[in-house]
Amino acid sequence: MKKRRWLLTAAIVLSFIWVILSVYGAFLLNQQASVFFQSIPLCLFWFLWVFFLFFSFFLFSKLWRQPFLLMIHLGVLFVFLGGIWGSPKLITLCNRLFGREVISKGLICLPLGEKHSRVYDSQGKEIGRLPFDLHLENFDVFYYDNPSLIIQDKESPDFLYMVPIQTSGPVYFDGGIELEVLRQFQHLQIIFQDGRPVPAEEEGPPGQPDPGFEIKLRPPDGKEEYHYVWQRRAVHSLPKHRFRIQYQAPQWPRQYRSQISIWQADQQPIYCTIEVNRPFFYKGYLFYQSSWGQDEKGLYSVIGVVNNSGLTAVFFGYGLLALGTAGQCWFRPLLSHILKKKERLYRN
Amino acid sequence: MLIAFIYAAMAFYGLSAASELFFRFKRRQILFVFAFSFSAAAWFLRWVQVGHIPLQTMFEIFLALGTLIGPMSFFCRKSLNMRDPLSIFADGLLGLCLLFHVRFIFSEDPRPLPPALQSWLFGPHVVVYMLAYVLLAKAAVQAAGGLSVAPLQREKQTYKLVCLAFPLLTFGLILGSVWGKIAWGDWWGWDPKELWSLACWLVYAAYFHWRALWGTRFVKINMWMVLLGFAAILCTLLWVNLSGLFTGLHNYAG
Repeated sequence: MKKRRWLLTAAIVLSFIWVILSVYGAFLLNQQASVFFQSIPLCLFWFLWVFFLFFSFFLFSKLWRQPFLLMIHLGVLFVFLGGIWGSPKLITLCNRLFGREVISKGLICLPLGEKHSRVYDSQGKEIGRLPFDLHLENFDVFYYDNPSLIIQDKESPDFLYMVPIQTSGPVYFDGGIELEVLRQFQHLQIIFQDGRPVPAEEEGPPGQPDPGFEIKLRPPDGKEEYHYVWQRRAVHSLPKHRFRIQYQAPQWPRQYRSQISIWQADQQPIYCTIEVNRPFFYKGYLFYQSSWGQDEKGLYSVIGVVNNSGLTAVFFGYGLLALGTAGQCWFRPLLSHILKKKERLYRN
Repeated sequence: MLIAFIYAAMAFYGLSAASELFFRFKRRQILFVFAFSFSAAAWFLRWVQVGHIPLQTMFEIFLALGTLIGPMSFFCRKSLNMRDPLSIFADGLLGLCLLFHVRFIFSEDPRPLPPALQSWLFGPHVVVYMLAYVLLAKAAVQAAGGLSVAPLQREKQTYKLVCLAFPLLTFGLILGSVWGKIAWGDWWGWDPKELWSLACWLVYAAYFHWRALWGTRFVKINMWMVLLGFAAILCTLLWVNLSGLFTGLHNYAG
């Protein structure tokens, strides 16, 4: 009896220590918190939990009489064991002991059309290589909103409008000002003809696109202005122009999609599509869409790679925990209530 | 229209609380039915407005919480026999407070759903948490009341409410973890919101162990533990989202 009381008290104390650690960890934010919770003293803390949980099965016969309660404790134990088994610390330790090269977690930066197997940490340091190559076939970003144009009148500061880019026809503003997107270019280059800037007919060298638009503005006085707006360049306007037009990129991303092929020696490539919330599992790793970017070479996709060690134990533990808590807190009292009711009816 | 519905729901929640305090209105359930109907209408209208389940911003979350107060109050009255004036007064007041925040504190501006939230787990994960929060708020009211009046009776009601809410809190944590694996590759990311949610779960787990150890021998300590759990919930829901101190993966709602 004393031992049981001691163990229950220990469970309460350990729970409150964990609460304090969690609150402290929340102030550290993700990266530092992850390091903190995998430090040596905290590893001992997790092992202490496993030890106590393990002993509770021997000391509390009540656990064996109440299957739902047993499921809760077994569930927590499985989550602990799975978490320890899949922890980066243990994977690194096993790598050293057994001379293997398993990556626990990292990022793969894939420029469009490039193929490699190098995995980096969040600081950009190479941490290892996968036993296969990844090739980014295609990458798309989908937005909720459309790209827009911001139009300013240099003569009237109050005239400031933002309109979505549309090539279907002119747009009219207050005061009878008309705007029309004449053409969209994959690579906009300007040449001068008769002292006037005009777009070059041939679109520039392949591989380095510089998209832009040709826009016509016509105020009521009939003085037409032709503007050239680039997506990736700062706004510029000729001094003689009355208006100033700026490109506004879409603000609300809807989805990022990477089309990947996986290449392994002497094997056919495997093609897959990775999106946010649509990862791809392959050879013990999970690949997910982490982020993306754009540099002077063009678009690149950042694919996260995580080792799935211990995941089965964790999810099995979750199943037990969910079933156990529902059973212990809902089904058991409900069943006892129904039985009591039946008993009362029987007595009457 | 949405704002009008919120005002109407606030009025009915306020009336139901006042009916407990100043005048005895026999059919006060009707007031809750009206309050629920108006806040549910506002929530569905918001759904049509934004085009996805409205559980993203604090405006939407508090509106949903305000909607859940009505059915939860009804459920507790019928199933747990919680008909005491404190409980009914607190339900009305809680509904009024939540909807007051919706109308006057949080921004109404709709936001498109970011890629990470486009998952079938979004709705269930948030809904189970909100159900748990409403039940645990009711448990905290019972616990606070039990510190001064009828402690033993209120402790039992508190325990029943925590028993109802704890599996929901567990499901929320598990669903979030599974979703984390799918969206961010990790079933546990040491994110501030995750850690605060775990802290809430642990306080209630400790409460169950304490109750298993001492039963109703130290009633006040039981009550204080439930109140501590609710304080942790308030931190998780409000402080983490609104303070700007805890930047992490869950920064959608703030």
